[in-house]
Order: sequence, then structure tokens, then C-alpha cells
Amino acid sequence: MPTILKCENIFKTYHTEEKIIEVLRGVTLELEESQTTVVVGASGAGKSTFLHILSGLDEPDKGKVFYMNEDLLKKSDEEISAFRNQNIGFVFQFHYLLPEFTAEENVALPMLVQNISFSKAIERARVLLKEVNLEERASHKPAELSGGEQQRVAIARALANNPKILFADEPTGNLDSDTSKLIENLLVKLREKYGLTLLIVTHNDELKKIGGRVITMKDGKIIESN
Amino acid sequence: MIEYFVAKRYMKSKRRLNFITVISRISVLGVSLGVAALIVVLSVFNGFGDLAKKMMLEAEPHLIIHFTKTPDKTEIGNIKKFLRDYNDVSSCYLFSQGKAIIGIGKSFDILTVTGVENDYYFSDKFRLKKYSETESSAGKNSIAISLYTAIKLNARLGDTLGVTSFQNLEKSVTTFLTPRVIKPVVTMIFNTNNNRLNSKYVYMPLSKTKALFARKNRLAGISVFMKNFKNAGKLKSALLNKHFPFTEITTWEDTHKQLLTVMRIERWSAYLILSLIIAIASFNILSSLTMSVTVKQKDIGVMRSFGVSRKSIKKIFLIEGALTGLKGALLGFLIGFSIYLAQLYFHIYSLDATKYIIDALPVKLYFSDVLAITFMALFLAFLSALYPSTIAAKTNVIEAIKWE
Repeated sequence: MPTILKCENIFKTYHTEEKIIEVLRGVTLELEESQTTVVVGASGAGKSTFLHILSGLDEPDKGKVFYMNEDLLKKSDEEISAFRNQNIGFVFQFHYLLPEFTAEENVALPMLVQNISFSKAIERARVLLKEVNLEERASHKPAELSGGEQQRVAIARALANNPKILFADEPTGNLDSDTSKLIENLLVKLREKYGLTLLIVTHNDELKKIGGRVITMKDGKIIESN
Repeated sequence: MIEYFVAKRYMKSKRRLNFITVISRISVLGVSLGVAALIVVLSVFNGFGDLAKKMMLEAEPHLIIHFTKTPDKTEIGNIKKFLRDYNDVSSCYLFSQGKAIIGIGKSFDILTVTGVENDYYFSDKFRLKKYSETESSAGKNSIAISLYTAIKLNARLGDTLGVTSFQNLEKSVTTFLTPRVIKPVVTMIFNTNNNRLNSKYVYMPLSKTKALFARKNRLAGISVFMKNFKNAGKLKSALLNKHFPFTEITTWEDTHKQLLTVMRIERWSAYLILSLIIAIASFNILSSLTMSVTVKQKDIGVMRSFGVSRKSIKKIFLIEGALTGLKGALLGFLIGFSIYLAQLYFHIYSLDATKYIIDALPVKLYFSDVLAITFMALFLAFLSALYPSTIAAKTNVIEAIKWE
């Protein structure tokens, strides 16, 4: 499988008033297309920062990030935003749905960035909500949904623009075990259906069983990769 | 357009009452108060301005073609033909003008005698507002004086006045002859709303004034009245383009330039001063939007994650500010326009017609004023949204979406 995303020698340091924290210390990784990668490690290992840098949400102090041989760090804000919109989907630990919008509107929002007409965006949003078994809840606001339902809407939103890569940062971290299992199964189902490249950052050992590579991080470095 | 969609929804969501919505509503109310005040005040200024112009131009010509040298008949004919063919000209007449001493018995006054072309003088087009008039056999030997002059000279309709010009007086001093005095009969007493005309002018048929003025001063020019006095400037340009010889052209706007300038400055001052109300209200837009940006940090972070650029985030809050301004402007327009209509049709603020020449505060609203006021409201709302929207655009995505 060809490499879809590659990072080379990534360094990231945070400066606080009291100390300097070296979060990433020379991380190099290649993700193959349609491959699933689970990144595990203790709190503070640098997993989330690594995900943010790979997805173009954050910039490293040193190192390079390539998406299909395209240097992401050379892109302007407009370009990197368009890149995220067209190629990347995010699922966070918390659903982060916009409270003023209904479930289907939340799913439609990334499509509206591309100036797709509102009616078409809503039409596709309903299809995606059906995929996550929430078609009946399409017109509900986030506050009217359960935790699991909110996270499923967030997954539907992440798939809005047919992304190539789905980044999930502790996607089950805020859910009970039954709902976690449901989300896990859903991610597997969607990965198979859409041929997604999946990168999951997690504490949850259950998610290691999802298949694919497991990478372990410690103190800002990859210490194990199978 | 996602920016408009999100901004509109954020506006809508403010229906729930909390501190931010209270501030936001105060800002809408403030803007509407400013807009309403501007509409009412400017319409009153316009009303008074129009009244003043109406009074000024009740009998005064809208445009005067002054002869710097008495032209021959052909030249006069050319000018009159041009004026006749000009669509917006309603009437015009040749006139002469000069200072004269006018008296009856022991009373006399120094006034400006205007000789009006006979056809015009004796037609219904003659614009002086008649106070009283008499059928007289005086014919061309007639004079129209104001009520003011009539009272001052103790002259009545049918009385014969003695009139002699300064030129005749000057001539009599140098020639030791008795000055030539003409004796017209008062056939009309007029009373206009223009005090300058009332106190300084009398009118006679042009042919009669020949005896008063020297040959070179017998024709002072042509007075022109227009269907729409506002187009006098255009006619002036058209006349200047024709290059008629020995002519100088003044419009009513040239004559009353100072007064019109003062009126314009007054209007602009009111516009700017009352805009301060909107400016103060805009500070509330700034406060509520800044608070809104703080509250919506996570939303901004998530929107950035799914591809909304910094520029679009900025636009969302700029549009929200502009929509707040627009809402205030619309509400203010409704309030101001209602007050305007109420005054226009129901005279909610009336005046004592026995003391004033009008029975109610005059109002007039121009579409251009409504546009200027709306522009000001939107501009200030937009300005006040600049800071919060810039802050929103600078949101640190990682901080915003950090799960705590």
C-alpha cells in the first residue's frame, strides 16, 4: 500500500512559566493508505500532540510532515484548512458538536465549508446519520442526545467530506464500556466500508484489538511499533 | 456560505436569556434608538429646510441671467428661445432694477424698483402672493407694493405714489433740473413669506420703468422660474455651455449660498452628533461579541478542525456584529418612520398657527438619509465587531479543543 502520510523527525516543545516540556523528541512515522494505526502510551507521552501535528492542527518546532509527498508545513492557513476539510476527519474524546445546531446540521457543516448547497449537504448528512443508526435523531440538538449518540453524530460529521484519513483522539475515553464497544464496532465497520486510513490515539487497551499497527509512545518517542 | 449560516444561528440562539443576550439586546436597542433619533431629527431638519426654501423661492426667481451690457433684440430673442425650448423652464421675463425713492404725502422710503416685462406682469404667472388687488384703469401706470410698505407709507389701493430713481436724482443735481418723477397707482398689495421682498421691493411694468433708469440700465436681465427649482444648476450649466454674450448667471443657490451652507453644516452636525448614540451602542456589540467569542472557544476550535479557515472564523463574528447592527437599524427605522408618518399625517407635534406661519412641525424624509443612517449603523456595528472577530480568528485550536 502507498504511503499516505509521513512525518520525519518531529520535535515539539512547550514553554510554561516554570519549565520547558519536550513533548515530542524526534518522532518519525509513515502511514499507509487504508491502514489502521493505534497509538498507545501513558498520559503525557505526546500522543495527542503527535496527532495534532500529523493532522495539520499544530506545527512542530522541527521536522517535516508530508501528505502524499506534499509538505503540509509549507501551506498557508487557507490551504491547510482546505486540506483538513477535504482529506481529514476528526473524532475527539468529547463529541464537540455545536450546541446551536441539530445533529444533521452539525454533520452538514464541513460540507458547507466547500460551498455545497445547504439542501445537498443536509441530504448527505441524513445518509451518514443513517450509517450510524441515528436517522431518527437527525433533527435533535446535541443536548437532546445521549453520550453515545453524540459521539456517533461526531463520527458522521468526521465522514462528511469522504476523508482519506480519520483521526480519533480517545474516541471512547468519555463513554461507558457498552457504548465504547458500540463506537469501536462502528469505527471498524466504517473503516471497512470507506477504506479509511485510521489513526487512533487511546488509553483503551480494547482498541488495540481493532487490528492494524500498534505504536507505543513514551516520553515523546516511539518506543515500540509492530 | 457557512459564515452566514453560523452567524445567523448564533444570533438566533441568543433568544435564551443570559448575560450576553442582555448586553446584545441592549446594543440592538441602543442602535435602534440612535437610528430612530437620526430619522426623526433629520426629517425635521429637512422639513424646515424645505419650508425655508419654499419661502425663499415663493416669489424670487430660481435663476437670473444678468446682462453685463444691454444686448440687442436678436440676442435677447436667442436667449428667450433657448429658455422656451428648455423643458424644465416654466416661465421667464425681462426685468429692470434700480433703487428709487417712493413716497406719498410726507411718507417716503428707499426701495428697489423691479420692472417686470409687461406680458408677465399682467398675467396670472406673476408669482407675488396677493394680499389685495383692485380693478383699475391705471393700466401700465401701476405699481405693486408689499403690505409692509403699504403700512409704512400709509398707502392704500388706488393711491398714487411718487417714484423717482437715484439716477434721476443724480442727474437733477448735475443739471439743476427738477428730477423726473413718475406717478404710478397702487393696484396690488402683496404679502409674501419672504421678508426681504416685503421690505425692500416694489414691482412695476417694465415699460413704466424706462422713465426711471438710464438707457444702459433699462434691462437688467431675465428672471427664470423652473418647474423644479432643484434643477436650476443644470440650467445654469446649459446656459454657460451656450456662451450667450454679456451675461452672468446666478441661481437661487448662488444667491443664498451662505444660508444653504449653514443649513448643510447644521444637518451634518446633527447627523454626526446623533451617530454617537449608535457609536455608544456599538460598544455593547463589542462587549457581547467579545464575551460570545470567549464562550465559543470550543466551537471555534472544532470548526477549525473540520476546515474552517481563520478568515472564515473572522467573517462569522463580523457578520454577527453586522446582523446585530442591521437588526437595530431595522427596528430604529420602524420606530423613526412611524414617528415621521404620525407627524406628517396626524401632526402629533402641532404649532400655534396664529403665532407661526405653519400649524405643525414640518417633516420630510429623503431616501438618501435613510441610506446614510443605515450605512452609519452597519459601519459602526462592523467596526465594533472587528476586535472580537480578530480575537476569534486567532483562537489557539489546540487549547480550544483540549479535553479537561
